[in-house]
Amino acid sequence: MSGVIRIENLTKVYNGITAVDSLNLEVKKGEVFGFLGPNGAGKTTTIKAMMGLLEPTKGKITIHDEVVSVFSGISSSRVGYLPEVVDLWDNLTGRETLEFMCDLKEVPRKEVDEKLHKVGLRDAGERRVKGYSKGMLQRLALAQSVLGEPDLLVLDEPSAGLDPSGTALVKNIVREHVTKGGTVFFSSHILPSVEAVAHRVGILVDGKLRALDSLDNLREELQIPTRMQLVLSSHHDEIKDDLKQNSSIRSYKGNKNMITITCAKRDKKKVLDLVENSGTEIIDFDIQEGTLEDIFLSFSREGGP
Amino acid sequence: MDPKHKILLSVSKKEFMNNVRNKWIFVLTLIFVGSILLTSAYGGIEARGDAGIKGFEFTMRWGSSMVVLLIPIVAIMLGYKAIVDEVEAGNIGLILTSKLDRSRIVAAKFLGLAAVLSTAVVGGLAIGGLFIGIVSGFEGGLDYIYFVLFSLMLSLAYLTMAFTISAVVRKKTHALAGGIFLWVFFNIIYELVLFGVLIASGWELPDGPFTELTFPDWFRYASLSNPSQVFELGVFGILDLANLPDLMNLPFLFFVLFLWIAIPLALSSLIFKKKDL
Repeated sequence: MSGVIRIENLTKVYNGITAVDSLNLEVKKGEVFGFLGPNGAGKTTTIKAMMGLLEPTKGKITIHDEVVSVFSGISSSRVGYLPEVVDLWDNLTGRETLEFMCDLKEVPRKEVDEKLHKVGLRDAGERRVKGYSKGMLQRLALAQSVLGEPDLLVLDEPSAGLDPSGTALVKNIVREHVTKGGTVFFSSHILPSVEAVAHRVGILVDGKLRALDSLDNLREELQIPTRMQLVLSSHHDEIKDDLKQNSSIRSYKGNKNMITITCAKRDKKKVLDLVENSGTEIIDFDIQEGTLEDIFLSFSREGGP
Repeated sequence: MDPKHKILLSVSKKEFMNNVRNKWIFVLTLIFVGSILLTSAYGGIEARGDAGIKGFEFTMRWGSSMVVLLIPIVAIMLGYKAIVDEVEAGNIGLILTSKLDRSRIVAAKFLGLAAVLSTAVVGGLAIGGLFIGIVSGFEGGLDYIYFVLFSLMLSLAYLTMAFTISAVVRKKTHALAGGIFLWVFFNIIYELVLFGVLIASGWELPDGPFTELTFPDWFRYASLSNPSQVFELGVFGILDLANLPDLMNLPFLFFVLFLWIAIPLALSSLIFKKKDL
């Protein structure tokens, strides 16, 4: 897989404040990359620099092997962009907005109906944008980003202002785009959305990239525990001592015939076998692996992991 | 057609249609028709003592004071948010995903808004002029055409200056404040300062009508630094009302107004090209 986005040593300083500090990143073709970080971490600054809206103080960004700058902009028809804040043009209807964007991107206008349908705005297409709710605006903005089936989709907080069905729509669009061979770079605060679709995540804190890996690897690396809740056929006191002494188990909590254990992801099976071999039967169980939220919070904390 | 030009025209067309749809273009045209007819009918009524549509010369004489104040306001209102509004709304990022570079975006928006302003100024003054011609005769019609052309140039000069402000600031409210200052500066402050310098230089106000006064050449040349005064000099030239230096013929004044359009437009483009959005 070749690098669609290459960010080398990107630094952006505003009025003496470093918004992004020596960021290095590469996103490969066919990848869904989730860009995370607390507010003010520098995510939007990075995305704006990628889109040629900001000039880096230092460093270089290439997209499809072309260097991006405020002077050259980006090579358009291959990149679809959804900005973090977008109000669109009040006096245009939803359909006219997409037709205008088709003209800008040199895409046939016949795509408009399909895209309106895709984002659930088929019945609102003839209404002026000024009457749209925030969610409808976001759907329309999302529709324009996929006009012309661009190779790369750059989405800055695509789920902002969307209801659960809108969030599901974002996930579907991202999955569909990647299935067709496209690449997606997106930032989000809605962590389950990122978790559901991202192949890799980058976590930016105070302008610095603190983590860059797949979710599984980050869970392992950070030792984010897997949490298991087991309902046993007998009182937990009978097996408590055996389990507590086992080195695979990081924490143990029992209540009557229910126990809650945390362990490393790789030790799940070992722990389940241990419980079963201790002479009690597992009647029911629930397993929660370390979530992206755990990982995110772990990096966002003062000092980080 | 070059694809980039096609995209540029799409942006211009959207700008134009936006102002057709929100009725601005019709309102502005009506304002100019009404203003020129009112000026023709009631301008200088205290001196002449009667009301009623007068000929072109009279209309231009009194109408120029109206045009020089009204047109900059309209042009600034149209242009102050041209760029900053797109940036504030986040839409500029979408436009920039096209093949248009930033200079062409400025050019596209200028073309669209210039078309709106030209339609309103030329349309309004032409409709008013037609009515005046039908009522009072078409004598001086050619001069009136020059008058309309100078009015158009004045409007475009203020439009591009508003563009420059729009390219510099980061907020619409700041652009509006800048636009108001622009109007006050060129229509009040600049003239007052210039007259102040003139008086301080020992010039004395002689008796006689204002239009027959003779000002030093440096005063006339200093007026070229103010597009509103260039327009007034143009009207003086059209009506042969003042003793202007030889160089200040109509083509020269027209060219100066052209510079007042081209330089701020180029400046807007330069500023916008380097700006972090």
